[in-house]
Amino acid sequence: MAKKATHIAIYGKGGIGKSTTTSNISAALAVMGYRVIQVGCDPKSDSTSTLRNGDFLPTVLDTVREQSQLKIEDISKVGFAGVLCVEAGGPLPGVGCAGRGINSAITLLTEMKVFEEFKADIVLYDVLGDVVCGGFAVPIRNGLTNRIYVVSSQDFMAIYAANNLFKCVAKYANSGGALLGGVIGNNLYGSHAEELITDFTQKTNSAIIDFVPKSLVISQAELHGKTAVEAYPDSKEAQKYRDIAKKIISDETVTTPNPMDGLALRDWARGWGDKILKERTNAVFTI
Amino acid sequence: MKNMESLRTQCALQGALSAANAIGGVIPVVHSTAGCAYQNYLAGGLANGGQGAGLAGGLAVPSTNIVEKHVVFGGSARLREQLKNAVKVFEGKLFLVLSGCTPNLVGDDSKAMVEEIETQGYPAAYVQASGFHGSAYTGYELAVRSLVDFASKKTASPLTTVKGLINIFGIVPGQDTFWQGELLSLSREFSAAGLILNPLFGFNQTVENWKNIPHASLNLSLSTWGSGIVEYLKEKFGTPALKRSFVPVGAEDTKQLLLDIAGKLNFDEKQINNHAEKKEQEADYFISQFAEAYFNFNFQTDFSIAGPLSQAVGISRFLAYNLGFTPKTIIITDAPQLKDEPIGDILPHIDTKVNVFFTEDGNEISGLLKKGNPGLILGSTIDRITAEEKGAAHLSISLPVSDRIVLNRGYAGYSGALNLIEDIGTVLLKRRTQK
Ligand SMILES: Nc1ncnc2c1ncn2[C@@H]1O[C@H](COP(=O)(O)OP(=O)(O)OP(=O)(O)O)[C@@H](O)[C@H]1O
Ligand SMILES: [Mg+2]
Repeated sequence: MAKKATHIAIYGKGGIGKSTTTSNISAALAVMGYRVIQVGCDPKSDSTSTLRNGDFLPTVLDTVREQSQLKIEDISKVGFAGVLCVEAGGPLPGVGCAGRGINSAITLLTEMKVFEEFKADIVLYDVLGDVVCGGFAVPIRNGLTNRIYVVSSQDFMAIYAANNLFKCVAKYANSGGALLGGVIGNNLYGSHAEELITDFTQKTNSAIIDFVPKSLVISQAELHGKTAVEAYPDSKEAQKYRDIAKKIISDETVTTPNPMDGLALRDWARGWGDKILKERTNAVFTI
Repeated sequence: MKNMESLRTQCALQGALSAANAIGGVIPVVHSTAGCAYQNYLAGGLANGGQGAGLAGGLAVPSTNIVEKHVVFGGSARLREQLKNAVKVFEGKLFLVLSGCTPNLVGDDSKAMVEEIETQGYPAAYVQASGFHGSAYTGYELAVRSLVDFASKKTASPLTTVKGLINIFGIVPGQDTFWQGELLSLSREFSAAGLILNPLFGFNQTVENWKNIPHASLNLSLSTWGSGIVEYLKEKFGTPALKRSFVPVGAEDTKQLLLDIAGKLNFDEKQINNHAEKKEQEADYFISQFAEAYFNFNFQTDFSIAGPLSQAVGISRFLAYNLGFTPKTIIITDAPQLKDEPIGDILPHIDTKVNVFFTEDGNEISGLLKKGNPGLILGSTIDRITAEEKGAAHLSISLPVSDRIVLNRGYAGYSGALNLIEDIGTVLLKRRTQK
C-alpha cells in the first residue's frame, strides 16, 4: 500500500502572505527531497505562480467545466524542484459559490487519485482569505487535512482573522476536524511584532512556528516570478523557510485552539495599542 | 428551532409553483434542482387529493434541474437556456420563473434573465421562492404579489371600480386540498347574492382575471395567508380590505361573511338576506332528510381536528354549532405565529373546554389527537393510523390527502356544509359497520 501523504492547510487573512509562505515552504520541502503538491484553493488561482515562473495553468474547475474526462496533466504543472502545482479555481467574482467550488475541486482531486499517483509525501492547501462560510472550512473538517497553520502579521485585522479561524478549528475539533499546528508570523515590522503575536498564541493555546520579517528579498523574488528559496537560496529568508518547512514536516504537535470572544479580543488589542503608543510617545520625548 | 417530523406543509417553492399551475396560461419555469419540481408533483398533486398536472404542471414543469456545476459557477446561463426552450414549447401568457434554494444561495441573477426574455417580447415575471424563505403559504403570497405586479401593468385604464367585484385571497392551491371546491362554492354563493367573486385560481381562471384585480371594490382574505396580500393591494390600488381568519362552512358563517361584505361595500343587504333565506331553506330541507339517520345511527360525537387555521376553525364551528358535535382538540398546523392570539374569539359559546394547539410536528400531533379518545378525527391521511389505533372514525381534510380524490369538492358555503355532512356521515357509518 502506498504511504499516505501528510495534508496541510494554510489559512490567514486576505493578502497576509499565505501564497508566498506556502510556496516558499513547498520549494524548501522539494529541495529537501520531498514529493510535494501545492493546491491553491482560491478563485484568484495565483497561489502557485512563483513556483512556476508565473506560467499559465488552467484551473481544475475551469477544466471540468469544459471537459468531462480529466487527466492529471490537464490540471497540474510541475514547478520548481518538482513541486506539483494545482489551482482549484472557482467562479467569476460575484457569481456562483466559491466555497462549494473548493469543495468539489478537492473531491475531484481525491477521486482522480492525484495524491497517490504522484506519490506525494506532503500536500499543502493554500486556502483563500478569511473563513467566511462553511465551504471554506472544508479543508478543516472531515479529516481531509492532518494539520492546519495560520499566517498572521501583527495587524489587528490579521489577528482577528486568525482568531476566527481558531473558532472554526475548535468547532470541528471533536468531530474529527484538523487541529492547529501553529501560527506563522509574516510580514513583521517594528519592535513589538513578535512579542504581540507570541502573546496572542499564549492567550489562545496555540503555538508559534516562526517569524518571517517584512523583507525586500521576498518581494524582489516575487517580482522575478520566483520564491525566495529558488531565487536567493543563500539568503537568510530562504534559510528561514527551510527551517519552517523542516518543522512542519517533522513536528506533528497540534493543539485545539482556545479563541478569544469578541470583547476579550478587543480589550486585548486595546491593551497592546496603548502599550505601543505609550512607548512611541516616550521615545519621541527622549529624543 | 424545533426539529419537525412528518410535516404537512410544503415549502415556499411548492406554494408558488402550485399557484402558478392553478392559473390558465401561466407557465412556471423552475430554477432549482430536479427534485424540487418533482416534489410538487408528489406532495402538491398526488398527495393532495390526486390533483396536479395541468398544461405545464405535474411532470411537465419546465425546470433547470441544476447540478454542481451551476452551484459553483452560477446557474444564470442555465436559466437563460431553459427560458429560451420553454417559450418555444409553450404558448404562455406568462412565464413565471420560480427560483429555489440553491440559486438564491449562490446569488444567481434570475431577475436579469427574466428581463432578458421580456425584452425579446415574451411575458415573464419572477418569484424568489427559496424553500428556506418559508412554507407553501409564504410561497403563495410571494407568487401572488408577483402576479399582481405583472398583471396590473396590463390592466386597461382608467382603473374604474366595479361595484360588487371582489378579489378573494388566502385559499391556497396545492396546499389547501379543497381550494378549488371552496372557490367554486363561494363564487356561486356570491353571485347568487348579487356580488361578483374574482377567484383568480382554478377552473376558467387566466391571466385575464388577474388584470381585473385593480377594478375590484373589495379584497377579501379568508386566512392569515391572504392578509398581507390585501394590505399590499390596499397600498397599491387603494382597494378596501376585509380580513377573516377562516373559510365559512354552513349557513350562519356564510351569511355573516356576506353581510360583513355588504356592510363594507354599502351594498343592499336585502338581496343577501333573500339569498340566505333561500339557501337556508334548502339546507334545512336536506338536513331534515338526514335527521332520521342522525338519531338512528347516533351520529353525534366528539371530535378532534388537525389542519390549517382557516379550515380547522371553519369546520369546527359548523360541527359544533350546527351538528351539535363536541370539539375536543383543535390543532392548527400552519400558523405558529398566531399562538398568542385570543382563541376564544374563534370558538365562543362552547361549553366544553376546547384545547387549541399550534404545532406541525407529526409526533406531537398524533399524541394530541390520541388524548381524550375522540369519536372522530379530522386531519391528514397521516392521522388515519392514530384514528385506527383509537377506533375513531377518520376523514382526511388537510395535506397530505392520499386516501381520497378531491376534484371540485369543498366545504365552504351552504352547499359545502352538505358535503361535509355527507363525508363525515360516511366515515362515521363506516366505523359503525366495522365495529
Ligand atoms: N514577508 C514578506 N515580506 C515582503 N513582502 C511580502 C512578505 N510576505 C508577503 N509579501 C507580499 O505581500 C503580497 C501578498 O502576499 P500573498 O499573495 O502571498 O498573500 P495572500 O495571503 O496569498 O493573499 P490573497 O489572500 O490575496 O491570496 C505579495 O506581493 C507578497 O510578495
Ligand atoms: Mg494567495
